[in-house]
Amino acid sequence: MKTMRYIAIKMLIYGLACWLLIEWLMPLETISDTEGVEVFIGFVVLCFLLYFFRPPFWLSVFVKSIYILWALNQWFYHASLFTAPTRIWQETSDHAAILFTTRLMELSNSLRSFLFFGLLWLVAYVSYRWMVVRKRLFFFYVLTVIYVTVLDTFTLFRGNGAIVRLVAFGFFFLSLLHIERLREQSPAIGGIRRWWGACLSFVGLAVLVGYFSPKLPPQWPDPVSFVKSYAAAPEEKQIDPAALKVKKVGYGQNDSRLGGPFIADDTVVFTAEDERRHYWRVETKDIYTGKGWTSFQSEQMRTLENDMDIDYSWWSPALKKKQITASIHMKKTYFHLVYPLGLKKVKAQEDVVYRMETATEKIYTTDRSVYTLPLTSYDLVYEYPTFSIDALKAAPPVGDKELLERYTQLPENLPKRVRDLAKQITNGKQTQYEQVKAVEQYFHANGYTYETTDVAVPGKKDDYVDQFLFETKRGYCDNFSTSMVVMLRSLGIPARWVKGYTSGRLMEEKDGKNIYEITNNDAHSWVEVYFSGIGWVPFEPTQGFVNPYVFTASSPDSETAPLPEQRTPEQSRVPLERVREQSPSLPSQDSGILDRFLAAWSWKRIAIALAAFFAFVWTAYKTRRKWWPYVTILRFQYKRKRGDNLFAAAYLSLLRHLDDYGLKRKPHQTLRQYAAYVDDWFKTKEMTRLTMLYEKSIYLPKNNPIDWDEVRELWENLIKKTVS
Amino acid sequence: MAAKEMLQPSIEQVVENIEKVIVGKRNVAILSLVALLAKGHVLLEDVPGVGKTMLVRALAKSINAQFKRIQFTPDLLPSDVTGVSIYNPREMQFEYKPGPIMGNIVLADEINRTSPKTQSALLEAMEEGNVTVDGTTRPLPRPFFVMATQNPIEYEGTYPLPEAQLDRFLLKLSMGYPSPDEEVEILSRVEKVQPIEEIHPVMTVDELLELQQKVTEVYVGDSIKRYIVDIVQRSRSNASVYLGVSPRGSLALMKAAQAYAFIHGREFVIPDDIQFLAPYALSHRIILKSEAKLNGLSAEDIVRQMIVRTPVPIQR
Repeated sequence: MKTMRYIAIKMLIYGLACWLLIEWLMPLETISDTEGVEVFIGFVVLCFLLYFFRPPFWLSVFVKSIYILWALNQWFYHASLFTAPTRIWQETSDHAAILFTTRLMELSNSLRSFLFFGLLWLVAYVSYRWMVVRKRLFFFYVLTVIYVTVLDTFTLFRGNGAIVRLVAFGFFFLSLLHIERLREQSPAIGGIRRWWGACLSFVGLAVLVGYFSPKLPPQWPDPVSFVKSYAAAPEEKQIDPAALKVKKVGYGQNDSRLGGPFIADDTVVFTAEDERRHYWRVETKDIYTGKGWTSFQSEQMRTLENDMDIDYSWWSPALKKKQITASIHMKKTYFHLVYPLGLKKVKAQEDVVYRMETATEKIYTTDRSVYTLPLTSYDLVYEYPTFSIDALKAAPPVGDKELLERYTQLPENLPKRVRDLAKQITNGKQTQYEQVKAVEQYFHANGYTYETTDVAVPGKKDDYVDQFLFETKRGYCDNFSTSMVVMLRSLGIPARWVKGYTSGRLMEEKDGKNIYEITNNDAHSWVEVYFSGIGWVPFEPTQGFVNPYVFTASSPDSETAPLPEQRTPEQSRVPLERVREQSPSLPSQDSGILDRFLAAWSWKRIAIALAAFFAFVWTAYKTRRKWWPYVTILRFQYKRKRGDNLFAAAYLSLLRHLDDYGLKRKPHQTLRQYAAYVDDWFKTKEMTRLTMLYEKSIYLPKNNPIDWDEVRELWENLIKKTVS
Repeated sequence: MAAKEMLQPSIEQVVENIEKVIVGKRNVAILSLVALLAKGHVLLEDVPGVGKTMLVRALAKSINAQFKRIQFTPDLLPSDVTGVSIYNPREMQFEYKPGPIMGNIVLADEINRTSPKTQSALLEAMEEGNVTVDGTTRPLPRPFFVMATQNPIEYEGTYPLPEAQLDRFLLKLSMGYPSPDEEVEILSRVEKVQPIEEIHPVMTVDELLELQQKVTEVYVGDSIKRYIVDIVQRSRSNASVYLGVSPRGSLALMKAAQAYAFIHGREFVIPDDIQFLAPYALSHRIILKSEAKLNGLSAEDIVRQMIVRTPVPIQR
């Protein structure tokens, strides 16, 4: 029985050590061009198995060598296992020179794999010595956490699972090794069972709370661009402070600081099989900060099911539309969809759930839990609109206050000349459409040029739009689109900034479908303007780009019908919670906060939070009971009724505290024997004195007056001792 | 270990007196006093020559009581114990000659050497407090305290006391050998004079009778009574025990506890008294199964088990 437990714990330690090493190998497939990571993992497992069973030295070396040779043979040589050593020897001697130069990239794959196996062998041995023999983990564990978090931040590797595993197993392992070290020092140590309980409950609690608690979006801007720009700084600082940031063209997430030059990047992002040209949307942003764009802060998510009609009205039903299907094949890994305006349905092979961030209309692809799930290909069904210019001209000014407020937001310190310019441009234009068109056209003349390299970054006091409009007049899509949105907003026209890709390059035509290739160079931003009774209409201010959507001069017959105002598309899109939150019927701010709180905390979460809370209280009660004595002292301090019963209760609670303290009274121990034991421990005589008084109170007939003050002094002294 | 309690001053004097004679046997002295004060009797199970007689004599002399000794032999008759009526030709009638039992403190040496008939005469006297000779019941003097001894080693030609009779002893004690230091001390003490000659009475018989009365007034709480019964009950359900402790055993334990508490100046009994006395008061009332004996268990072990398994009452 005892040996069984010993072996089980030993196996656990070996298994956890092995797992921690494997955690290092897991990301390799994502972050490098390593293939067949499972073979390396197999090697690590083999190493630990051999450490566990301790075969003779020569045998373990032999087994590992055979494994390495087999793997290399499978991958590269495809010959008899026995020829592999000679091949390796040959390569090593051939490439020996390279090993001592900096041209490591020229190493052959087979030799590199061989060297990697060697490295793994070493690392496995070191981690075995470190974790299993010396029972030290902390350093290695911290390294692993740093490794995973750094990879998660700077590469495509998603460390969600790894972090959860690290917390769950890692903390458990840390504490297991700790107790094993203690046991080595004093083998007779007790309380192992309680240790298991405490350890498992704490780790479980940490994982549960971490897993179910709501995750905030990143509080800092993505550090990658910052670090990159910082790293790029030393060379370029002297040349041009404006060129501090060098961006790669492509789709990025952070737009809070726009400006700076681009470097072209023609990596293919995806190919699309489609009938029409249109822009591919990714997300919209609607808060202009003066330096760039941020999104409306909201956690609202809409869940869209795979291959189901999306109940999301992009336009008013009166608009003329055509249903079209397209299919996308991603070449790079993204966790969001690229989709055309008017999306109706998405279909992918995987069991995927689409989650649309309602604030930005960005659609994430996730699995049934919350993990992101990159899709390699999917089909889209969307409605392609045809905008009637007449209808647009006839559209009344937008009356929806909430929408106006949100989409005409501008920073307070927006320079006045931007507003003045907008007014000047639109002078004499009557309808919203004409005003929008005038602003859009303004960029095509007046000396604005498309430029990717010599683009300024706004200084501390500069406004991004102001700088572009009046000073530099040079820029790319971001400059043009942002400027247009800002000018429209200054006129009170609701507009928003949209990011995504242009329609790309037509590669070939295949049975009525065109195949487009979209590269990072096709990343783009444009403008969407809201027209009441119609919805969001895309516009293209950027020099050299053409709005892919069709605007017809003749009005379709259905178009003139006035639209029911109570159900404008935007309204129907506003989530219920926000309506409630902003409804004027709620007078105080508090109730708004409460509602927001309730909205963010679903019943399930509340239940889990309560469970976690009670679990916490229970654990605290179980483990932190040493603070309880103070409560007891307070409890008895203010008792008015004095007498035997009070003394008995106080004495018995003292016994409980002493028990918690670790001075256990066996049931057959008399109070006197126990008191002697306690006094011996605390080096006092108080417990015996108190006990003798207590004996009188319980072993004598009632009506025995007890000097409560004397009793209380002794009692308090003793109970305080149990605190420390 | 329970804290050392001070003894009742008068008792302490007696114990000190005995200690002058008997080296290092304070515990036995105290237990003897417990039995004396509880109006019980003691069975001393010991090898010869460890000071049993000296103990009893010192005790008797300390309380200024009449000491008698009966050496039991196989040919001893009941009348040799109780006394006989002899015809007095001058008075023309039978005259009672009191036997050695007519004393305050009686040492019944090697009680298992005599015939059951003689044994029962003694035990009856112990139980009844009087003797019947020739149809006349004669009361024994007060106090009356018998200290019977038996040799646990020799069984040849003995009549082991039946259980029913063992039950009549309040306590069974054993003095055991002294430690080497104590033995050296004994030698130096008796080098010139016999210390027994040197001690003086510290208490009168009347005082003792008064103390005996006071002992009965020591309070035994309900929880303590329950505790006694709990312990005793365990002897009846113990798998190694053939015959458990009788209610007389419970009674003996309580009486002894009262005396013990009194000796320590307490007017109430605490569980410590019970735990301390149980091995002396109960172990001779238990008959083990032969398997248990073969397993090396003794009655004392069983009593200790019983105590360990019984939770102490810590509330009223």
